[in-house]
Amino acid sequence: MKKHIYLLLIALFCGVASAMAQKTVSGNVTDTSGEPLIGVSVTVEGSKIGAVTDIDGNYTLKNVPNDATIKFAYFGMASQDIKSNGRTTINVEMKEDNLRLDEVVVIGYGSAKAKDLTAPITTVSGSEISSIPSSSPMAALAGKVPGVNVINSGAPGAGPTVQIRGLGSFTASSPLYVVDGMFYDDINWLNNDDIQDISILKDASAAAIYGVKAANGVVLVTTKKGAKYQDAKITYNGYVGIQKATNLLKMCNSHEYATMLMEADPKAYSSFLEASIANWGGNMDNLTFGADTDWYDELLRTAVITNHNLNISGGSERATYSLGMSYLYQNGIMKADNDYERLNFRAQVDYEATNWLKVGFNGVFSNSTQNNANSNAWQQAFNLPSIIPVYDEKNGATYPEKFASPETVGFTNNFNNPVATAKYNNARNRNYQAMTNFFADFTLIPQKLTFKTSYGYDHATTRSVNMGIPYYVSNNQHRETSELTKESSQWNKWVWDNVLTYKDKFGKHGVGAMIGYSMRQESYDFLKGTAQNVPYDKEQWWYLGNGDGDTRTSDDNGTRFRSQSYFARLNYDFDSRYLLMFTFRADGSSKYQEKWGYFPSVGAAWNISNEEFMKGQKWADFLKFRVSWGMLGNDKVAASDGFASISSGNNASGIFGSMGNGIGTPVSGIYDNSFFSWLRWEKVAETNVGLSYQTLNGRLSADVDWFYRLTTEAVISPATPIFGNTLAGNWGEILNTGFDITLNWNDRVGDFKYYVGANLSTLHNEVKSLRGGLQYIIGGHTVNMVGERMNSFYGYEIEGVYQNQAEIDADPIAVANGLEPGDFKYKDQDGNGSIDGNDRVTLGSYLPSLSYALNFGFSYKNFDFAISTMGQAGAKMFNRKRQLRFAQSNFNFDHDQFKHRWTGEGSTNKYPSAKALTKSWNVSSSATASNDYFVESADFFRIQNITLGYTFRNIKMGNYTMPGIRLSLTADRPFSFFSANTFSPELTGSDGVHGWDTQVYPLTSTYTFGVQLDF
Amino acid sequence: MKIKFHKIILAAALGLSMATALPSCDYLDIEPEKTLPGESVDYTQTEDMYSVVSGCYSTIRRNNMHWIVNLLTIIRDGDVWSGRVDDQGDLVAMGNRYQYNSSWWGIGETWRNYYQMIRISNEALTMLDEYAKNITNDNDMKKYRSYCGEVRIIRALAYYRLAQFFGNVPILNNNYQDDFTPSVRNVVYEYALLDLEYAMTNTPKVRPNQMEHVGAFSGYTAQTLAAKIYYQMGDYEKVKTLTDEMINSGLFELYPDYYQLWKIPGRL
Repeated sequence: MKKHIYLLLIALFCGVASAMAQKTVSGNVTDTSGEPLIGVSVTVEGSKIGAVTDIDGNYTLKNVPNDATIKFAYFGMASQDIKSNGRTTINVEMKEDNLRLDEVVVIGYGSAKAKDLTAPITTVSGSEISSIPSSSPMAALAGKVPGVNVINSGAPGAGPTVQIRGLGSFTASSPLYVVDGMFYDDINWLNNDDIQDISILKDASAAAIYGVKAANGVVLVTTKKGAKYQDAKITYNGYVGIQKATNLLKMCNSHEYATMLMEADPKAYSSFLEASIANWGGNMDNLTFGADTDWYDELLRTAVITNHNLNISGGSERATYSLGMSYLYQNGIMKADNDYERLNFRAQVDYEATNWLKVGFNGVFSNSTQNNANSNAWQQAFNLPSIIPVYDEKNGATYPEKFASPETVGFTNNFNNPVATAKYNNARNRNYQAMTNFFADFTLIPQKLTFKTSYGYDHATTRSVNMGIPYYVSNNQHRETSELTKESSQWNKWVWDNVLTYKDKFGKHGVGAMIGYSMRQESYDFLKGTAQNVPYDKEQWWYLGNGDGDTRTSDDNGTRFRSQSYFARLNYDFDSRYLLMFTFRADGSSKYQEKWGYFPSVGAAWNISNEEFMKGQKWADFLKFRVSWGMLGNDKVAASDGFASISSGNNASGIFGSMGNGIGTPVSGIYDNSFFSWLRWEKVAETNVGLSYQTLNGRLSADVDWFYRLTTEAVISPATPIFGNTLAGNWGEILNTGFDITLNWNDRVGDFKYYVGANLSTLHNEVKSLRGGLQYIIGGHTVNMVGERMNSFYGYEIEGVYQNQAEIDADPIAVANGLEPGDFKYKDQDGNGSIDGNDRVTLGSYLPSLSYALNFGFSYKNFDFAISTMGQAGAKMFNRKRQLRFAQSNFNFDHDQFKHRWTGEGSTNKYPSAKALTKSWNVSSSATASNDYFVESADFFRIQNITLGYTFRNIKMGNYTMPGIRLSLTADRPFSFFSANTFSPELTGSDGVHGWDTQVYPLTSTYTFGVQLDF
Repeated sequence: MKIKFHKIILAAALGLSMATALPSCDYLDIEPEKTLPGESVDYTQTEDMYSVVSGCYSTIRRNNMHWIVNLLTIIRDGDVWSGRVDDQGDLVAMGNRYQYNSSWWGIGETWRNYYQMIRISNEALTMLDEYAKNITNDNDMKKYRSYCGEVRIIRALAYYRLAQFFGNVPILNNNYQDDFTPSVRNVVYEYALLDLEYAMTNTPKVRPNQMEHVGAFSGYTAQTLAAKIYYQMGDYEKVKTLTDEMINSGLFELYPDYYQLWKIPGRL
């Protein structure tokens, strides 16, 4: 009996004890000013217990063990670990974490804390870009990250050209985009609101884990995910705005144009002017014209842009989810059918099935339609003088609309009515993209060893339709029968990643290891068909089958590449003071003859601020010195070049038996045109040395990095001697080196919080060597010369303008070439008394030597304001628009050429006369034998974005309290300052890499009004 | 740190899956899409021999008749210039004032096109030689030599044009030569004459519309070109001999009214 009582007592005691061993803990979380913090994550370490603070900052945790450690974490605040010690109420005041050292940064195949990084990785969070009106998320990054050069294009739905740390390849320089583990060439299909954050791996040691694809830098994009212990959070975010073309280039009006022509050569050009006057009025004596069309004005309009995003995310103890929908519509500023419309759906679910298995799914589905404008219209608007109107009712030959024909005044080929070009264009792309990702995460040893396997699949289809309807404007600008072209492109990719991660701490030694294996396949299929005479009145009739059977043609293409990779990463840290990291990747690719490449990297960092001798001093809160080296590959280059076979077919056949009116018949022929080379991927080796410094309680922070990046085996295509065919080979070497510097200051004075930031990047780019002893390769637009920057412009240096006949007579060069006053005087570089190809020099390149950005912002009570600016210096562009006069001397002039032209002795020593502009001595047909009149500075300074916002908090609507409504006004790219005679110094397009200015879609300023609702 | 049983199963399963994935070392060995293996020629099919020559004729259409090549060649002949002033500045300078800009694209294009003709002709002769190895009868041998003659006329035409336009140009003895020292113009003419003399001997001396392939170059085409070259070189006696033979052959006659030669009967 005594035994029983004992047992009972023990049981009772234990019962009571156990009841007392678990408690309910609750409390309130505030910031340093006493404001409640909403959404703070409160978790019990080592268990599944957790909660999130509510609208008043209160939280409640049940069944908390007495000896538990409770962790409080909130973005932007220093996290705190507090021992419960049996308490039931724990209130916490969280302090701002300016140092941001515990922030988790996404790195390749994993994540790390900011303080543990040995490489300069910049993270941009989704909230920084979600309110910027751009159709592509990369476009919103302009000016935000030093070392990343984003060159925007204006066309709706078009993505920007991105260069990270200079230009490292002659052929392919865009970075690798990794979206949730899947590789892409661009992220133009994502909406800014789909993104949680973007990590940019600039240097080799961070990017080397991606091996053969990483030579141009890696952009890691993570789409939005839910968070644990969070009630459903519904957010609506949207804006509506207008876009206007800015910095319009002023052209000559009719009077100015006529003045130029009459000064040049009245006999040759007066007929055009007289014809205009005869048709539409005017007066030849004082050169006034009835027809005075501003073609750019006729082509431009204000266009609307709008974006709407609805997001719901949350999580429980075991699951997190995030669902979203976004809609974007961007109209184009050309007065024609051009716009971009996109609808995205996004879903993400993570579920902890057991305590050792977590599974998840993530998908983004994008559906967009792009109506493309005919960008030839911009160049044509630049060329066509104003002496013809837009419409001409009197011209009976034009149909279906009565556009004026340049032929009426005698302009034949090379002149087109740009409004007609813009109008008679029907080109549409429909894009569908589905990206899906499934993963399973196994915890083999809790907190130490995990294994994650994930499978991603992406499918994208682009269908394009181009319908050319019959029309007639002039002999030069017409189409007789309708022509329909349909193209269908499909991309299918899958990737299977398996990653084993180990992390442990032994006393002061922290060790991490990761090994992985990945398999991939990417395939591309293309099919195209054309047919003529397809009935075109209704879109439903646009089928190739409806056209003339014997005009139908078809073509197809495809690629399929497979890869296998093995990669590993080892990191070691001693007492959080000394950090060491190795990565290695072996990449096998089916694309090249040589299948395997090996890419190692090593990085080391020293957290000086954690040293003993640094304790107690006040001048540095955080000081880290880092050094790294890595090797990367670029597999965007082609696998081979040239032709290895005999050509046959009609092109290789002679036609015999054409007698009288007969047309003869081909006799089947062949010829051997073989020239061939296998290519390998390019290699990049980069060294990075950097310093991170924070002081004054984290208010001032600075990051300085120096990089030295050498591309070897760059693919270049020198011309073969005599025959002129170009044949590519891995022969080039390119150097990019410079500094990336970031400085930030943020502080608060009572309720007024503000920040000032600057980033600066310098770049020195040089062609280190070409093939063998080759000193230069001259391309169509630029020259690549050893010791000079890549893609330099090449031509004669102008010393001045010949002012009078005496000067001409005294100069043997002028006499030999029959020059006149008003012509350019070129510098005779080799002093041999004549101007020839050897007197050409490099005139600059489109690569900027300095890029900078300045940002300022503040928030006060419910207001917030931010302004960001950016600029570039040292880049040059080639004004191809002006140089086209070589093909047609009576193209229109831009106003600057008229205003500053040489009109007599002493008028100017920089601009040529009107007559000089029509002579080939001054306006050469060859861009690489031109002169520096056409090479203009592409320096610019732009106010990139101004945003003003006001937030209403805790709005009571009956029983319901809405957490917040934010209204904002944004001006995006409102002011740009540049000296070049162009629409925009940012040149994209097929030759954008070279700074070749032609047919550029003008840039726009966008003004939007936005609303963000948190439910 | 006891590892639970089910985790061991897991680890094993994963290890297995990775092992099976660590594959086939030939996972990467796939053929590139759409690329046909280099076509090769079957030299035993001697009846197809003419296809090589036909390929050379196609270069006349594609290279010699490139609009700028044709245009520049005719100007050089001292014929009519349109008088246009609004065309490409460099072209106007050439036409009106005989001023040449060596970096104008048209000049480079002319050079490249003629050398393409030469390169393809060089290759064609090599291919014909391969066919010749499989020839078994005399008739085919004659054909082979006649075809070689046609190709050589094409090559001589290219050198003639080059020498006329540029003066001293390199002679390509074979397509892999890497010495491009220019030869003096007369030497280039003599090189062309070697080709033409071969053609005059081996290609039938008939009218082009009497050739096996109607319209092909005949022995008399070679003779005409040779006469032109001798004319350039100043050897007027040779010119007379060659042209007399052609005139006296009875195969050619002058069109009664030169004006009508450029008209189609019944049309303006």
